[in-house]
Amino acid sequence: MKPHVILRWFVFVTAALVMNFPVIATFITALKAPAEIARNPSLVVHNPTIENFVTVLTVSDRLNIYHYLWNSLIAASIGSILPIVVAFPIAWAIVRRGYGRNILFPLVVNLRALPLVIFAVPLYLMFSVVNLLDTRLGLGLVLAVVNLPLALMLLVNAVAEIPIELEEAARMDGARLPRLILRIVLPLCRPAFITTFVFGFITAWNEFLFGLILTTQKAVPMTVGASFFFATSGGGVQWGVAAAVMIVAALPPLLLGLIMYRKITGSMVSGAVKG
Amino acid sequence: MARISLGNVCKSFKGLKVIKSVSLTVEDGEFCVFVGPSGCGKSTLLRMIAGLEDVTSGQILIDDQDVTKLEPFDRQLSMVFQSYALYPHLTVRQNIAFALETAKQPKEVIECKVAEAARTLKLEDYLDRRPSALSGGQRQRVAIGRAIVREPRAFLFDEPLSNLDAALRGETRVEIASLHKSLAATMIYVTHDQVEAMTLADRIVVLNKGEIMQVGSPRELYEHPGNVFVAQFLGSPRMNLIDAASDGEAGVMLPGNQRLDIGQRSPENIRTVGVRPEQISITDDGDAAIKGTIKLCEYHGSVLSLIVDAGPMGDISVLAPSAGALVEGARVSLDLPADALHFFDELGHRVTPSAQA
Repeated sequence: MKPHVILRWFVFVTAALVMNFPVIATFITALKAPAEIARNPSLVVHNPTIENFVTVLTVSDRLNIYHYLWNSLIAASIGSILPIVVAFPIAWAIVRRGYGRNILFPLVVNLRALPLVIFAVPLYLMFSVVNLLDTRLGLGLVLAVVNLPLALMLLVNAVAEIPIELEEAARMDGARLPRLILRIVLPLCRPAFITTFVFGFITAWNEFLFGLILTTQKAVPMTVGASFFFATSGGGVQWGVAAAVMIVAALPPLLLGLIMYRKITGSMVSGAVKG
Repeated sequence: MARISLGNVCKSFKGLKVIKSVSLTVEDGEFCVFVGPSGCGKSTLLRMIAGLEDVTSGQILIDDQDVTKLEPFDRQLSMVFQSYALYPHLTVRQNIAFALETAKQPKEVIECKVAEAARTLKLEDYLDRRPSALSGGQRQRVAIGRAIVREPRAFLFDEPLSNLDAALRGETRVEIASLHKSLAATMIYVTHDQVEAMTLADRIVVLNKGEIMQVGSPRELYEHPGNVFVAQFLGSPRMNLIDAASDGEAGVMLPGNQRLDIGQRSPENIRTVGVRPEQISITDDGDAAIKGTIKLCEYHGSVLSLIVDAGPMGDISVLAPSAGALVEGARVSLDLPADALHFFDELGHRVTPSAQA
């Protein structure tokens, strides 16, 4: 191997290690027994154990990780699919008919710039009135609002990239609006739907604030549930268990990202290059 | 098939008049070409007929049915776009079948018609491909196939050949012409290319700045242009225009006090004389009205294209047989045959000299 190739790899591996150090440290901690965590802070594990994972994955009378995972899955699915369903027709209307292009669209997109915590108190009060507190649906709806700006932005770009001639050709071919949307616009937006879904799902899965405020038992999502593992038995933080639960909680979005990676990058490239 | 009439059709964009009161009837089965420089409104006019642009005032009739306010899908016209506008996510077969499926035709009928269109356009081998896997010429044929399967009332073409290379353009032009013959369909064709206009059209509509300049057969327009714009727009190189004034008899006075005999009594209001480059001949006649120096000599194979600097008359382009031994810098005399001259008045309108008294 030539020296400059070795050097390149050296820099690359170093950067990867430095940037991923927190993840690596967490994973290694999860493999250590409590006694070793206290004695051995190094990255080398002397007596690797899966005991922490067993603890996390075992259902106890107080903690049920499957319950949290299920809650997160449902809430994140609602929170990532609903914005697409809502934003797609809006995106088409903004691009093709110009509705809301000057005020509504910038306003919705800038919603992302607001710290969402300012909605917390009014939302809590509203949810308690309509009985959405501590429900997966309620949490999902809020997550949908969180994701709506991103969804709208991505879908507006996607619709704008469809050449207008395609829609005109379809209209000349006799297609009325429903057929035009379903057979032409919708299929052409598919890459954008996948991108929007993946980003939205990951954002929704990792959301903590509203999960903490709006749920107590039945609908507690994984992010909030994970914090319950930190102090299970009064004897301070069990770092090994805490690390294990973080790893488990991070797996679903990680897997989704890995599986969808090709499609996301594909659609981004096709979005960047005209043609 | 159908007859399409435009009655005082106008179109404004934000107060800017892009189409100024156009009236025109395209007869059933006619091949009508809209031609003009870019920005003349030819595409806008076509899109108004298609229903893709709304009409500010005036009306559009298809077979005496008022379609001015109808949506494109209710007008039963087919359109071929400059950018092909093929549906990228559908195969060639699905692209061609789209309109038939939209019209909810039975499956067997669709299959049969798609197969027929594919045979006509030599697309049989590509039916299961996506448009991205086709060449430009094949894409254009799919676009045409998509238009012909549904037997529309008329075909609209919006510069369909301008994205093709020169050889393919010629080929596809011939295909479109034979398609028109075999379908006997009403076709409206927009182009900025005068060769396409001249070769394809039964009738040409020359547009400029949103107005019709002249309507007529290619021969009429070429041989009897109604105004300076049409005279210069059709023909390559462009028609030469020389300032002129009547001498009150059978001649006109050209700049530099040269008299040109026109064989007929010259009308008083002549301001310009036009003559096409190919009708000027180089002569040895020392008394010729126009003499000049060859400024530029381009060899085009079958002809030589010359620019002759004729002093006060400006530059005059001439097409000469390529066999001649003409070189840049040579002095030449130009012969302008009286029957090849066109006369225009102050406003650029055609003036016809009265027969000699």
